[in-house]
Amino acid sequence: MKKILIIEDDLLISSLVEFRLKKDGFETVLVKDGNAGVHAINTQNPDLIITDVMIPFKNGIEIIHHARKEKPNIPIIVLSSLGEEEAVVLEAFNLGVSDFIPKPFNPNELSIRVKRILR
Amino acid sequence: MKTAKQKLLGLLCVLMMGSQLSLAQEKTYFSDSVSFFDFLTNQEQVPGLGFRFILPSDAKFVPADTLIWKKWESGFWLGTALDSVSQITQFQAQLDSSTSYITRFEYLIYDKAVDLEAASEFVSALLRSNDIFPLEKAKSSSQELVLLAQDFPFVPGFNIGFGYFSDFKIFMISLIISIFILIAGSMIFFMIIFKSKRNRRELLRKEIAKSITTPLAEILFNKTLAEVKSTSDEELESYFPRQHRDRKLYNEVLIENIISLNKKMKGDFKDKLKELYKRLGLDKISESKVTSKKWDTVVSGLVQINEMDLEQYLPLVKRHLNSSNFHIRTNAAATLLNLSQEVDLSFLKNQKYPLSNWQQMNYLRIIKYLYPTRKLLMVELFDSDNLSVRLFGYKLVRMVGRVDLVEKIGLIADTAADEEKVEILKTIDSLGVPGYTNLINLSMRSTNPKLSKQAIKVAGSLGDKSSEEVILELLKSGSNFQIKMALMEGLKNLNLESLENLVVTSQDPEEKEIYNHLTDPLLSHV
Repeated sequence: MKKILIIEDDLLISSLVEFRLKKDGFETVLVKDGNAGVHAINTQNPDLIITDVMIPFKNGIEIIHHARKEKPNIPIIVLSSLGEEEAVVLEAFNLGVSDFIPKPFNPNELSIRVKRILR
Repeated sequence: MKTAKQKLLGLLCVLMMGSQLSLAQEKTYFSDSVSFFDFLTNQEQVPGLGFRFILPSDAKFVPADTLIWKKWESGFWLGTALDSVSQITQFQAQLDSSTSYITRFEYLIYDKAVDLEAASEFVSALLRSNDIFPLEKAKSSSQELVLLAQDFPFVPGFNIGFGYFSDFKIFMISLIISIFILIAGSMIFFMIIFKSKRNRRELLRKEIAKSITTPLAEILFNKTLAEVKSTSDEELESYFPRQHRDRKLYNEVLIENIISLNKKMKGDFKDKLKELYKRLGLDKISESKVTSKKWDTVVSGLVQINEMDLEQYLPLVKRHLNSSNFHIRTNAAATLLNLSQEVDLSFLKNQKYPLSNWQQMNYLRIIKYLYPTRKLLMVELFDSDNLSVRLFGYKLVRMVGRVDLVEKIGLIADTAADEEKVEILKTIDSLGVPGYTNLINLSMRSTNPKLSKQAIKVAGSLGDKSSEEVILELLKSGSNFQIKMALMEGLKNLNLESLENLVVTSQDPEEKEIYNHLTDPLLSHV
């Protein structure tokens, strides 16, 4: 079973995403801030990371930096309401993220993208 | 070598110093025997100075209380040496009353009898050498409160705890301090209660949010929109129990979470959330909020109606369009614009309050978002008595590109105020509508610099030969630097050749400088 790490401080959104991914048959690890996210990357060995950009302690871009350094091959999906900010999107893609989903988003669409990446 | 004058001055100084020294040494403190005796009476005792009574030798001895009399060789009776004046006064009175002889006393310095002068000099010497200090004379009891108080013996009022009431000041201070401590204590007490209640409420909110996440997810992911619509009340109660939904806090958290999800999700999830909102009866809560007397509750209700597209409550929303509260007014207008089938701005026509820039920006954002799909009715804005509404109308024509309305605002411009003319000219310029040279030329001649500058700018892009003539005329008539620069820039845009001819023939060095600035590729936009 593939393990997905969800780094999101909005409890409602993260719970819904977790619910959807579990329904699709994935194992999920849910963390609420950047520090916990870094720790989970090091210890949980996830197959995919879904992260927000604006999260406490360490932002999404720092998480991506860390993930690229420690686990260069893990696919990352950025889920953020900063979708319209070109600089953030470009930086994320420059760091090699697999996808960028702007909020508001459709969880079904997220599910399809996750399946495509982990296929 | 010292001159005679200097020598004389030095001598005088020495003499004066010597004289002062001599005066200081000889200074006597007592002018006569009376002042001396007054001093002794006040001083009571002087170290080394004593007194002794003398009675004549033929006096029949009358023993006084503590005086021991001795017959002296000379035949006089001498009393015991006394050291205080009060004793003298006391014994004098006794002797005077019990003998027929004239009593007198003599002074003793270290037990040696001396006369008044020697005693006076002795005391003066002690005073000069600061061996004794004159005591203050007792003041009259009528002037000295402490002495006056001595006439009334103090009776302690501190018995059985009534001491505080005997002194009004102490009582008042104690009372004030007690009240202060009481208030401070009460405040701390209520703060602790308030804080703990708030913490408990926050914990409860988290618990409720946690408890509703799974039911929400199950409904959103497991049911279609049609299924949500047809869900039975019993099934809904299994997700969100009735006993919980009767609680205000539970409903508040439910509303917040549904609205939050509605903002962050798209697709059919939004429709499901809106349907669920109605099925759970949360729309009734929003309705009741809009009719509340608290402005923040009304605003919250308006936001909920807006977010959840509760069109059936638009009549309630319309009641608040002309509210005296800025936030209610703004949110009511935003809700009406969002939920109406067509973007009808006629409600702004009778707006009593001026539209702030923030309100205009807010409405414009909504209108720009809705305009491509909905009909925009805005003609009535120009007929409003509210200047800010009319100005918003002109801006709106420009922002949404309603060229069809330029003719109407062009007609209004003839009778409009300068501020309106500026906006109308901006709109005409922005949309590039020709045929308004008359308005442009007249406005260029305005004494209002803001209008004049705007008209000159528009003339540069939409003006004709007549505008060029007006510009040249205004340049010849002499203007301030800012207007001159605007005129030359307008002329440059209108007819560069005409500007070059002007500069060649001009005697004004300022015009040449402005020309150089305008034609410099690096400075032309500065």
